[in-house]
Amino acid sequence: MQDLTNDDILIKNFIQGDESAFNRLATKYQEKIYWHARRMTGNHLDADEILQEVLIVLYKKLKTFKFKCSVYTWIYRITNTRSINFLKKNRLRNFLTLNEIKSYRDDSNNIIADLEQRQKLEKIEKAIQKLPVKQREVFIMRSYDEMTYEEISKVTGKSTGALKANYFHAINKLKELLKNDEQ
Amino acid sequence: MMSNDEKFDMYFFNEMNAKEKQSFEDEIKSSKQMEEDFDRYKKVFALVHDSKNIKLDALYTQTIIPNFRNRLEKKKKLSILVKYGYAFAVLFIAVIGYSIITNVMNEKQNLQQIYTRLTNDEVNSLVSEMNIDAENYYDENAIEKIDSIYNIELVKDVNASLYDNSIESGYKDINIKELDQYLSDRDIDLIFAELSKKEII
Repeated sequence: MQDLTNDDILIKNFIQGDESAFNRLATKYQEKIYWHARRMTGNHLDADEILQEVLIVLYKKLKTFKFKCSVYTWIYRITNTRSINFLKKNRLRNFLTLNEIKSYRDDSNNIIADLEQRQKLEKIEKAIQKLPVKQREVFIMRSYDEMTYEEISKVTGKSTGALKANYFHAINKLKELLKNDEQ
Repeated sequence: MMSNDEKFDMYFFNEMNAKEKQSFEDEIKSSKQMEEDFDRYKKVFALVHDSKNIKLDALYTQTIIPNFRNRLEKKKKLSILVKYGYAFAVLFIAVIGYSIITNVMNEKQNLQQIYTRLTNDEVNSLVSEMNIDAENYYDENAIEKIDSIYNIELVKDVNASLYDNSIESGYKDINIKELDQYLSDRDIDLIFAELSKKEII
């Protein structure tokens, strides 16, 4: 609750012209935005691009924020939409240029310093990228962000039944992928 | 009835009470298939757990806001350029439109001025030249077609007027000799044929 009140204060200060208030809000949520985009797209470069786009959208639209939901939910919704649009654009681009869709792009930007962590991330990222987008988004929100189905429903606009079905499909597919990996 | 996946999910997300948890753990112990399934589920979650709290390199996180500010500046400059572009395009179209309209108006005025300066003889000469030109484009087929349509309408009018008393007075003012110069032989034949049919003649 304290966090929510702080967010509201930052937004109101920004609307009144305090640019540093926006910087503080952005700094608070930048890693959450980045990681959601990273898990959706599977690579750092795309995640960075989406992060920058989301910050620009926030900057432009924050003045119209109506405080009907938490700031975090609102930001999360924007990030999720941008990530899905980005994936669709990439798919179309690859289709038009007859490129194979790379389900995983390796980039050695060293933004993750620890090697062991990087390897663990690569393993699960490769598997998640093989999931269809609908299954991927619900799996990420449920497993990584620990959101309830009702909260995911508010973000995606889909029914809890559909979300559960997609989630369990995702889990079963990941189980198979990781099992094949071991073999 | 809940599927195993749903039970695993509730168990991992602590959505079971103590009694349900105990029942679930007993169920796993009693079924080898369920235990294997649960193990695979645990592996997925272990990987998720390991990749959950990875920290980003500070050098990267420190560049996020400055990069965002740079992009914002570029977008602002671009939007100003775009606005100026639109304004220039509108102005350009307005200027072109204005110059076309004023040119047309000037041409019309010039023609009117030229006409007022001409003498009657000059005007008649021009008109006769135009008629000569028109004769070069004399289209016999078109004239015939117009004549045939005119004849049909003329017959209709003659029939209508025979029964229309209100225009009878109009006939009294018609000078037959004058009328004759406007009717061709064919017109006269047609009128005669209709009047014969009506047993007027």
